[in-house]
Order: sequence, then structure tokens, then C-alpha cells
Amino acid sequence: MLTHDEEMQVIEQILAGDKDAFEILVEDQKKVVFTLALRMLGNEEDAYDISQEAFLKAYTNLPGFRGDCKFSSWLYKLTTNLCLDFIRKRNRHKTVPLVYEDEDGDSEYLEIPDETFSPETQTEQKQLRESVRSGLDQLPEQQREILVLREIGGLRYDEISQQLNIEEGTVKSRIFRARKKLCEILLKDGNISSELPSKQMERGGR
Amino acid sequence: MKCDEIREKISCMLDNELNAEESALIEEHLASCPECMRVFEAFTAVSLAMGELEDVPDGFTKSVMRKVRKLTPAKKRKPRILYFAGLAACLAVVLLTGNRLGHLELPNAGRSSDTAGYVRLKTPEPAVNDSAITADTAVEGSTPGESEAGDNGTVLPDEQDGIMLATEDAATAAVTPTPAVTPTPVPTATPAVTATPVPTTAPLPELTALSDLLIVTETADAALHTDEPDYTVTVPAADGGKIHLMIWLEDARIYCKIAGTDTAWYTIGSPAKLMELLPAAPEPSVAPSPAVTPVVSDTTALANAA
Repeated sequence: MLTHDEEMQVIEQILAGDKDAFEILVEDQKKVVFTLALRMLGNEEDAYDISQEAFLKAYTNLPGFRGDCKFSSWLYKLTTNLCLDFIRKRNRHKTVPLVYEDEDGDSEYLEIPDETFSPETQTEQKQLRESVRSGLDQLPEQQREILVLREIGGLRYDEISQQLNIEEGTVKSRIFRARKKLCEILLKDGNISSELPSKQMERGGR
Repeated sequence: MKCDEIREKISCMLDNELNAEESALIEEHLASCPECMRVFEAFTAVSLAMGELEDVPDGFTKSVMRKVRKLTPAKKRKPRILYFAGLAACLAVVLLTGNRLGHLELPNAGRSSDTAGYVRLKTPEPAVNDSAITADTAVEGSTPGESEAGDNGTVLPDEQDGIMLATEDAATAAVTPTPAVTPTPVPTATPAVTATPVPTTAPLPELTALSDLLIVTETADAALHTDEPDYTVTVPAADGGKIHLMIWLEDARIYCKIAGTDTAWYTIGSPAKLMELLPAAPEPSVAPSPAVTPVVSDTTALANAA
């Protein structure tokens, strides 16, 4: 990954007319951008298109990039924006009413049955990965966005705060709620630990 | 600390947002509280499962670069504020002098007036015929140094026919030759809007609401809103072109962008105020007749869907 200074150097080069230099930024960031889009959108095809679009948009908007944050942070936010737009359009087509996320919809207390999240074999690891990915789809958009910026983009709280234009305290609590909610979804769906007694599952799922 | 507070800290700890002292406290708690320990394990597992990067399909970079090469080179932009200040002054004057306000239409998808999805601000008076003079004035008016809204605002109401609007290109062209000039402070457009007696039949509150759109409180990232705008305002320019302002209403702020450019800003107005000032409408709109303004047709579905 390029440092902020290295990014800025490349950007200078591009703005001076060297289009090919943009390839350096694409190569540096494509994995993160693609993964961000994939976790936001849930399928590879859309993720591919949106991440292509994200890079093109970054290119055309590059003159407006002020350099007061890392290029990568800016690019990630641009990517999640495109994803959110895309999701909204997709929802529109499905004529599903737009659900505004209810952040307080999660339960007071998260209770996790023992061993649930301690996968031991590789198969279990893989299974957990799959479950987490499908669980993400059920997370309210806002929570999904902040969680991918943190977990995939690796942004610090202050960087997220800057990108989303919210207080750092809000970043902290929103990430926490997103994690909690995701765990709850995984427990409720039962695709996390099927061998657990159902009573315990219910308790955990609340 | 209650367990739920601890758990928020656990989340922070995973994100390396705790200092050593705080982390030590949390770890101490974890050692004695199996339930929080399970939360810690769960968060860690989910974090690991989520954070793993995916392989990008082959040809990704090539495909991006092929498209990039077709685009015009990304060039450094002219000073934004300066450019915008000129435009703001021009628009404010148009709003104030009001000779052709009939052309200024605010498509209002969710709350149409009688004219099929539009709010008409004013029925145009018979147009004044000296558009040649108008065009000249436009160029002079947007010259830096002369483009202060205050000046224009005081001069133009007397002239009555002073359409000062230039298209984005014309405005830019007029402004760029002297980039060294200090940008006109944008807020100077305000006094002109509020203080000058307006020789127009257009309802003043609506004009104010519209001119608020032009007062920049903060320049904004042009990439912030990319979906269809909630509203567009189309203003005919002296040279026959048009300027399209795209408007998105956020929770508490109004985000404006000039269509086809990366010039975006937050305005001084608030969505609530704007909505309040717009005439309330009977029912969801019919699609506007394309004869009225073609520009708007693509933005009508938007607010309904949003």
C-alpha cells in the first residue's frame, strides 16, 4: 500500500497529464475496493462493475481531491457511496419499500453461547466466512458501510469520522452496534452453530 | 463498568483505538468474565472473517485503464470559489431583477403545483428585446473585481433587463484570465438578495429560498451524491445555454452541484425551509410535459422513489 506522500506524488503526476500513472493507484487499491464492493453488494458481478466505476469516478474527480485525507480513504468512501446508490436503485426496481435502518433495533444485551464463534477446523473457518458474508446483507446499510470501511478499508475512527462526517463517538458506537447486530443475525439464522441446543440459540438470538 | 460498556470497549480494542492502560483494564475484565470473553471471541472471529481481501478477477486493471484512456485528462481545476462567486453573483442578479424569471422553474416531483410537476416562480413578462446588450453585460458583469454581487445588485434593478447569466463555460472563461484576483467572498451575494427591493412579481420568499441555494457554506465533495437529484433548477443563460443546478436534500442540509461539473457545495438554506417556502401541492405529480423543459424529465421519478 502506498503512503499518503506516495499517493500524492502519483496524483501530481496524473494531474500533470500522465494518465498511465493512474494504473499505480488502481493496482494499489483494487483488492480493497473490490472487496468493499463485494461485501456491500453481495455478488461478484455487481461488485466488479461498481469497483470499475469507482476508479473511473476517482479519476475524473481527481482534480477535486484536496489531499486533506488519504487518497485511499477518499476512494473507499466514494466506493461505498456508489454501492449505496446501487442498492437503493436495486431496491427501487424490486419495489421493496425503502427501509430506513433502525439503529436501535438491536437488543440491549448480546449473549453468545459458548464455543459458537470459535471455529477450529478450516471447514468451520470457511463456513463462518460464508455466514458472515451473507449476514452482512441483512445489516442496515449504514452499519454495513461503517463496518466495511473499518474492517476492509482499515480506516481509523478519526478517518471514518472525517469521511462520513459524523462525530468520532458516533463512529465508535455505530461500529459496536454493527458488530453486535451482525453477531445477532448470525446466531438467529442458526448458520453459525447448528449443534447448539435450540433454547440456547433463542436466548443468544434475542 | 457494566458489561455492555466493556463490550463497546472491546470493539474499540479490536480496532486499535484504545490506549495501553484502557486495554489492560479490558483484558483484566475479560479474564474474569466468560460472557464478555465470548463476545470478544465473536467480534474477533467476525472481524477476521470479514476483513480478508478477495482476489480481483483478471483483467480488472486493464479494463479500468482502457476506459481511463478514453477520458479527457484529469486537469487541475481553476479556483473554485472564484468561479462560483461569479456565478452566484450572476444568478443572484437574475433572481433579483427577475425579467425572465418565468424561465426559472423548479421541478417538484413530490409536490406538484397545477403545472404538472413544476413550481413556476413567475409568469414571464413580455421579454425585453435588447438581448444583445444583455449578453455584453453578462461578460462584463462576471469579470473579477466587478462581479461582486453588491455592485450588480444595486445597478441592475434599475436596468430591468440585466440578465447576467452566463453558462458555466462562459462564466469560467470570464473568470479564469486573472486567477490572481482574490476570490469574491461568496456571502456577499446575500445582502443583495435580502436588502434590495425586488422589482418583480415573483413571490419573494421563494426567491430567497432559491438564492439561498447559491450561498456556499462549505464546498463539498462532488462525489458525495451521484444518484438522481431530488430537484434540478434550470436557468437559461444569456448566451442561449443553460445552467442546471442539481439539488439533493439531506437531513439538515442542502447539497448543490452544477450538472456536468465537479462544483458542489452545501448551501446556507435548510431543506425544511425550502420545503416550507415551496407552494404545497395537491398530490403526487404527473410526469411533466416534455414541452415545458426537457431537462427536468429525467429527474421527476426521483423524489417519488427516494
